[in-house]
Amino acid sequence: MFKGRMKTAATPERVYALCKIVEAEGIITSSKLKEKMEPSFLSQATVYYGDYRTAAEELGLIKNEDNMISLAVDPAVIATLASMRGYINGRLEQMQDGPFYKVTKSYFEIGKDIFHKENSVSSLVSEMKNMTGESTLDADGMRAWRFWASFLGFGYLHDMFVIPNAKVFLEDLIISSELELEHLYSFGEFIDILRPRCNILFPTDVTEKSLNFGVSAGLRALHDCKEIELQHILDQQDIWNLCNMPAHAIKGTVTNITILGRDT
Amino acid sequence: MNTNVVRKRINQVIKTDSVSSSQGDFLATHVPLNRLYLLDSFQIEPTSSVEYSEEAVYEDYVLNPDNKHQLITVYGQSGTGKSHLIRWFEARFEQDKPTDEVVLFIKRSDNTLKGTIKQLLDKEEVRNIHRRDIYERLVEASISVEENKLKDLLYTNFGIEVRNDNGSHGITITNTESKRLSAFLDNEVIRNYMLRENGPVERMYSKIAEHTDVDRDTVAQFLPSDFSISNDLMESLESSGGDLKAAKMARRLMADDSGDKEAEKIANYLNQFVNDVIQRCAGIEPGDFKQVFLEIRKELYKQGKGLTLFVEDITSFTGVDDALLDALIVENTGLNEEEHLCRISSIIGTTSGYLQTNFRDNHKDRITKFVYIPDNVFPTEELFEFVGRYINTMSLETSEVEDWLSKHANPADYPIHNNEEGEHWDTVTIEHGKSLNLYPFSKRSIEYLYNLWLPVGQKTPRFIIRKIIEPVLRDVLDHKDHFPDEKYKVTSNANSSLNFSIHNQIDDDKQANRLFRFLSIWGNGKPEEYTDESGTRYICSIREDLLQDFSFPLITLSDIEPPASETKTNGTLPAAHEEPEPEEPIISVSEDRQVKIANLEEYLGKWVNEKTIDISTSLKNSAAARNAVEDLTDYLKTAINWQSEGESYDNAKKAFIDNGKLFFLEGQTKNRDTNYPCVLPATWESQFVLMAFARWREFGQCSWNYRDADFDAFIVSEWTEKHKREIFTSVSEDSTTNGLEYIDAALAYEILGKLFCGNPCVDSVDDISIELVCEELSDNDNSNHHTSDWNALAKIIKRNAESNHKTILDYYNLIQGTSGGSLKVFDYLSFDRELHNVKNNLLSLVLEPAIENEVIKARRDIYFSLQEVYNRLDTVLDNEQEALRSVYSIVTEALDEDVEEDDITDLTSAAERFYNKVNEVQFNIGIADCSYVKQNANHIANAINNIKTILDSDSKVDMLVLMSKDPCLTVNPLVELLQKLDQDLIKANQNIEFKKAELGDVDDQPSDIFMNAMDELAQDIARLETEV
Repeated sequence: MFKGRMKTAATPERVYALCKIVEAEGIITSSKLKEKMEPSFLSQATVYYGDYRTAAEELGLIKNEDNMISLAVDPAVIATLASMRGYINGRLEQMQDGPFYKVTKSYFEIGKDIFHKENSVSSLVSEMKNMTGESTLDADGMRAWRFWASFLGFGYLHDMFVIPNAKVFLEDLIISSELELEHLYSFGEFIDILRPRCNILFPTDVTEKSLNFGVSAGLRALHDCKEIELQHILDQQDIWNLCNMPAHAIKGTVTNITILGRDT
Repeated sequence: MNTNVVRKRINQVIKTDSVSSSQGDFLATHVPLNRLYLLDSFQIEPTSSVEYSEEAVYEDYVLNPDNKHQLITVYGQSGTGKSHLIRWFEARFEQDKPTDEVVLFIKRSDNTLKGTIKQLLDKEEVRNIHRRDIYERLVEASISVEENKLKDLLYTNFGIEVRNDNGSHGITITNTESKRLSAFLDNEVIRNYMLRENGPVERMYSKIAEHTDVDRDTVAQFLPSDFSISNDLMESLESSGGDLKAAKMARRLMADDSGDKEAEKIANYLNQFVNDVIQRCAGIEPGDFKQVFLEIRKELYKQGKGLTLFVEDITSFTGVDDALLDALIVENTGLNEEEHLCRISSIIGTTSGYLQTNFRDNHKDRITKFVYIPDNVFPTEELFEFVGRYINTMSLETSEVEDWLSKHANPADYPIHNNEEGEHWDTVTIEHGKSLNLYPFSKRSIEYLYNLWLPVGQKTPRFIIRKIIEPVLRDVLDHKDHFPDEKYKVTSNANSSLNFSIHNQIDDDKQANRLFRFLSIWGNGKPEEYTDESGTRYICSIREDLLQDFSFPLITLSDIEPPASETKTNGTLPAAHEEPEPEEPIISVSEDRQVKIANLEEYLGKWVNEKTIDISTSLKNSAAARNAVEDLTDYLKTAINWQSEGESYDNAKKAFIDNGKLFFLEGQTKNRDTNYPCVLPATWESQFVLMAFARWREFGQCSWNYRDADFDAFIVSEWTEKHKREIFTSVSEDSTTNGLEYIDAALAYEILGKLFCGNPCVDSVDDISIELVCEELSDNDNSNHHTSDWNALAKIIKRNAESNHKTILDYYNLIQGTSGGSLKVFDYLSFDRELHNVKNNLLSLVLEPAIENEVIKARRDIYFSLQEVYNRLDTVLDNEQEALRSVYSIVTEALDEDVEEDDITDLTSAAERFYNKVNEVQFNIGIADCSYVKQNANHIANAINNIKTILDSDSKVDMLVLMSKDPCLTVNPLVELLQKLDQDLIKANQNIEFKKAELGDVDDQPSDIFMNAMDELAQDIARLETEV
């Protein structure tokens, strides 16, 4: 999923449920773990277990040593689905070569042109193959991608389409960053602080100060719910361009940002 | 505007009854009517191509340059300004009239019969009129009859007129109809109905009574609706035992197909008697009025004077109108020359409808000119002037106006107030280059309110004053900080982008809504701003300082180029610039779809304003709104990641995904009985998100592929993030079920099903596993030893067993996507945890709060199913316990209370010996096979002990678990053996006694062997009898 091929059976909720069993058991044989989630008494013809266990391993959530499964993270990481999401979002950059990372980055790079493409992400396979160089990418992989893209806060699922809006992803990064509350940052400073963990969404070229639609939407959403305050302060030189949205209070350019915190 | 002055003057100036305002105010607010039609014959809604100014009509006709007899009617819809125009004619004429002209102005306010005559007699010129004393006595005599008696008199007189109708009034009915109508009018129930408050008789009464609260504008006539007979009325009529003819008449009036026509016919028929009846009841004979007029004219003729009569509104003269018109049409020349009557020039105001129906043809034929005031009488600039003059007049002190009036109200001297408020607001330029400030109106707002607040038929001066000028001024005077409030509805040009921009920048919804209304109605409603060359900022074409004047929070909008100065309307509120060219390629959307979206925008805007909506019909807007709600609902099936939020997808399916019903719209008028988890409030946010989906459907044809879809998608995604928690909470059930979840009930139901239907037995409820729960229910075929009640309950459980089983498997399945396929991946920990909880509370789940509060049928059904089981459970357990007790007593009578395996094997051994002896002595007793009981002695002993436990237990759950193992079935062979032994021992004893007796009677002595066998048998029996 994050390193190897993306598979629809490896959903975030299954990965989480698996981790919770491992947490409860301490250490458990792989077969026993499988039996709990896909019990043999159901006599099912197919087994998904391997797909989501692999995803959990790729994410570093569990260890598999000689078919003995144990938790690889602090239990606090899997205290809730949200905490697991925060953990995963914090280490996506370590999986830059994986299909999920590449597809996400490409999807956001398409910008708002994404709205003029097919309604289903599975129809984007060939375009994504070209953009990512992932030759094994297939429709099933794209369908699998949408679950994680939605879960990790990159957008909102509309049937088979993902509306880009990175509000939740950015929120996770801001919360886990060392950004000071109520401090006025230049936008460049803000990007620099987040960049080690969010190249997946930001332009690779640091001189290009334009943010794509999904990031712009996420920032505007954070601004609207008062977690951050975006500003264009006249005479400031560090001007960044959000994707243009005339009807929004933040129409296009920003120079500064203040982190207000979630409860303000 | 000068607020301080306006506060004092508003009530004086804003008088829609033009005649009651002061002459100065009247002239100061007068705006010339320049779209009058002049006709030779009556047309109800003329479409004349030639328009005349009031000045032209005045010069050519009112001034009567040829000094000839004339009767001119001024007509139009109610409120078009007839009275105003006639008063203006009268005011002008007073100044221009020849010295030998007497002017009489009959006001609407004096429109009782006697009031009218009194006005005539008050004129100086008729002081010496012939028989004046008689007329004065006539009008001075007060009507001493009590109100109720007078009304009764009026009503009775109509009956008299009907009975004595000789056909002279024009409209006739048949003799049979006449009798029916008489009986109908005489009926007590109908009489009371006609005499009711606001009924037809009260309308007539207002024309006679000198002091009444009834609106004097009321036309004293019967209306077809007065004869509309309700079912209740008909029932009263029939139950009162009224005349059959009356009932027949009432039924004709009630007929679906012809009732309305019949009612119209009766109303028209009776209306022809109105004048006679009113005059008779007022104590004036029909000829009196005409006579007064003729006397006046003769008196004036003697003085060498002519008479010009202005009648404000003859509509209000019902009861005397015929007489008045009769008097007015009599010419002073020709055949009447010898009568010595003065020349009379009459200008009479009336409504179009009244002129059409109440003026007899001979009256219409004698009318010299018809002056028609069309609806929508003011062109745009005159409309502004009309508003401007009112604001100016009420901002002027009375003395200033009176001073102007005293100088002949010369337009060149028209006073303009000093603007205390309104700097930079719109102005309108009137004659002599005078500029009227329109504060607190903008020209756009005047046009907007005029076009949208005033329906066809009300685009008249009266309604402009009553519905636009007065409410706006009062609102600004009384609560400027809240202006414009909710009643200023944005209907025609609600711009989603502007609305979004405002709400996006202003947290206070009330302030945001207020600003949106102002920018949409007072401004151009477009989400744009610009700064002109002087540095002045305009938002929605309104100067920024104007907004500050009303304490509006300021926002920023998209910058556009300032409009070219020549396109500015008057220098203060320039028209907005055209939208810039779109950056992205235009994806063509048909005009039909654009219209559909615009209409829906208006429809939903109305919903937000009025909090009421119907989305149940197939009408375009209703269906489009419904589609938008359904599309939003569909979207949320995937947009909210139910499992990630901690909710089983099965719950979301049950709550709304399966039936597609998630949102009940606030104020939704139909389908209120359907249960929806969420209410979509009538707010701008809801409107935005629904409009986004409407465009998705119409513009993108169910895709986001259309221009500006990115904005809609952003609105949708932001709305989702903002509201998903509350939707999630509404869909989940915690708040309504007191903590109980439907899965608890489903698990309990499943476990009880397993117990009642004989799935693999467990010794304890703790032994019930996920695996057992996941098993299909056993096909219990009643081959058991449970009671019939037990089996009946098992049958009931089976009815919902399949769906309940599916609920459990789906609930714990970590589905992928929305369909998920048939394979299950369990959320094992949740399953295990919940199962454990339910086992601990198997028979004690508190269902009532859930049953009472659960709105989702699919979930409520599960609670109901379990409740049905719970309700029967005590009876079933009691009966089962009784059956077990009976079995247990049989067993314990034969064996010790603590039955062990050995006890049973000893018994079977003894029984076998018994039957061997029976066989040996050849008694005719069937031999029982004890081998089954002997071989299963262990099971049977356990079952007996289980029964004992059941009978001793205080725990229903424990009892139930043990009962589910059907111990009777196991013990039954032993019971049967015991019962057979019991009978066979009796038989054996009887046989022994019989044999002994038989042997004693014969000589042959029995063999020792036989006797020994008999003795041993007797001993066995004795032993067994102690056991069995």
